[in-house]
Amino acid sequence: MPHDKVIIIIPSQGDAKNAFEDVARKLKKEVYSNATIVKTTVTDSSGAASVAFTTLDGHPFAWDRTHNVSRVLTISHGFAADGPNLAMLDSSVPVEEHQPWGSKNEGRDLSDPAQAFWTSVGSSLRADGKIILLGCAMGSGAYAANVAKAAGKRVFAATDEIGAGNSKSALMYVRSIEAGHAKKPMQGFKP
Amino acid sequence: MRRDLLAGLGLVMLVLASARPALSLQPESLCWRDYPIPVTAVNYEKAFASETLAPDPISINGKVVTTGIAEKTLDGLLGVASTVVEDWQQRSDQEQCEYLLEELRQHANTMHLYKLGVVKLKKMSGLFRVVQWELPGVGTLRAFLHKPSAAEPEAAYLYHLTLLPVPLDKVQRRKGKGYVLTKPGAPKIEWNTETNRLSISTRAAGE
Repeated sequence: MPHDKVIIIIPSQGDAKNAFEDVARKLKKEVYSNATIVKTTVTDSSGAASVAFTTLDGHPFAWDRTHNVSRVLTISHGFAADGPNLAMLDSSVPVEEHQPWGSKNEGRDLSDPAQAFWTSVGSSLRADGKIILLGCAMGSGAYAANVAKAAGKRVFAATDEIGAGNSKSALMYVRSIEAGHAKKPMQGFKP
Repeated sequence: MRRDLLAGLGLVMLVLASARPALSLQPESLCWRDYPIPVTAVNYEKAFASETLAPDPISINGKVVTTGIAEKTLDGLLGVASTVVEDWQQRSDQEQCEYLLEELRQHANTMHLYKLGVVKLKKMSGLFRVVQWELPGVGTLRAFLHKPSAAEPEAAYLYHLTLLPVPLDKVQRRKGKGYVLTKPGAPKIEWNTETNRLSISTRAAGE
């Protein structure tokens, strides 16, 4: 099996969370049969975002105990500079913490938490592992390239808006990446 | 001598200490963030009934208004002269980013967030102007224009359309595929919320 270990990250809160979960479940059913779906929960911890990871059956998920992964996908809202939005429109978390793996210096560089997170994801991935960021425009600025650099792995992200919460289009993009011909606006970024 | 040196060093340290917080206290501008301020999810029906839309393209009696068009061309397409809302102003890309953030504050919903986010990505600098047209029976169309320098031609980079308000319960979703909203009566106005295309027809059927 080329994709024996796949991690699909989805938000547990915020706008369209059910749509993202639906896409994750369909990806598991139709593309990555052994995928583990992991939900994020963002909370405010003394003015900084704290992200907890939990599997669908409620068990905590730890990146440092996860190895030899072939794919890590995120399915969420997003945009050009600050990566996956894990709590969009959730007023219980400050808006500046909705994207805990964001950027600094006007989007040119990853923030420290983002650098740490994507580096740890890179460590969990096997040598030919890939990261797929399903969400709007995360490949339109420097973000996806910076993630590739931090993880040391190839990253695929959209250079324009996509329907990440629409299972038909999301599966089509993922299948195109797995077939080796990423369909626009999805684009590959080398480390 | 040594005491003078120490005193001098102390003064340098004091200057450095007082300078450093001032630098680190300068917050990074919010405008470059993807989601710089809290916004609400757009309610398409409510927006169509009484709020400002940011459609592109806009079809008016078959003539297509889209980004990239010059002001004079717009005057010709719309058949009326524009009025100036903001005359030419020089702005850096940082100032333009702040300007777009201010626009978002005035229309703080996800529709404007994504629209302005795409504009922001272009990191435009140069000269900017805002003009608008009163469209009888329709509402107000506002065009945001840009030219990189005085010598270059201007082009619209954003439109705001504020339709004459109607009660929310008068907004209808057209039957069939897609999410197309319509208003009753003349002129016929339709907004495809999926493609963001807005069509206006002021002509009576058969005209």
